[in-house]
Amino acid sequence: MSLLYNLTLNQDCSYSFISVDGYKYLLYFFESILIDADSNKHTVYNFGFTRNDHYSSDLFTYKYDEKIRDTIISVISDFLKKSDHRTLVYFCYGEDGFSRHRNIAFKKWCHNLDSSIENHHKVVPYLNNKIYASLIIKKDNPLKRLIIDAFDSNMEEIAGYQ
Amino acid sequence: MEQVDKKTKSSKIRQSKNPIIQMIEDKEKIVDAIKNGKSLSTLKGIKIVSPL
Repeated sequence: MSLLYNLTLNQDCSYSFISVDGYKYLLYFFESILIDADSNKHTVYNFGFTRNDHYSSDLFTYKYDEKIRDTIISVISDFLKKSDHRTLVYFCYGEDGFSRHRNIAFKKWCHNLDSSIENHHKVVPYLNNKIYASLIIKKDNPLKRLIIDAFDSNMEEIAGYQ
Repeated sequence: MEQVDKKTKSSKIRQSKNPIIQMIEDKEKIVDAIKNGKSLSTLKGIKIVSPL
């Protein structure tokens, strides 16, 4: 029996899989930039996923399925393996007030990443709310320090927007 | 090469849209598109990339 769900590549470059309980998961990556202190632009990739085409905040509705975690972590790992220079950013969806919970779960998931990958988690206040973000990067990325500093300073800058 | 002092540089960064805000706005558009059953390829200005 496979330890991962089978992924389907969709025409719009997103990926999807169906869990054993029949929920459809959709994964996507999109290109973004971070700007460092010297105004250099660094291309990074945002990652996100949904269940049944939305972010459900119904408590105690879904049975824990570690195969979902393993499939998503596997996709992230493969994405980073493709190029040592790739960097991922993940924001916890927060419109339903559950971003902190998602952040706790995602940080736990990150423990399953390969040891060649490191992650940075940052929380900043923003417009009476909080933004939970994670940066995932290869340890040997030659631009690692610049990218992490850019991530930190770009995040801290919005903390001042009140 | 033009020399720009650090103060001017940080001011220039502030003048343009903060990259984190841009990412969050892009993600919101993607979430809306998924909710409404639209293909992500219809989103202008957002480059969806194949993960694998």
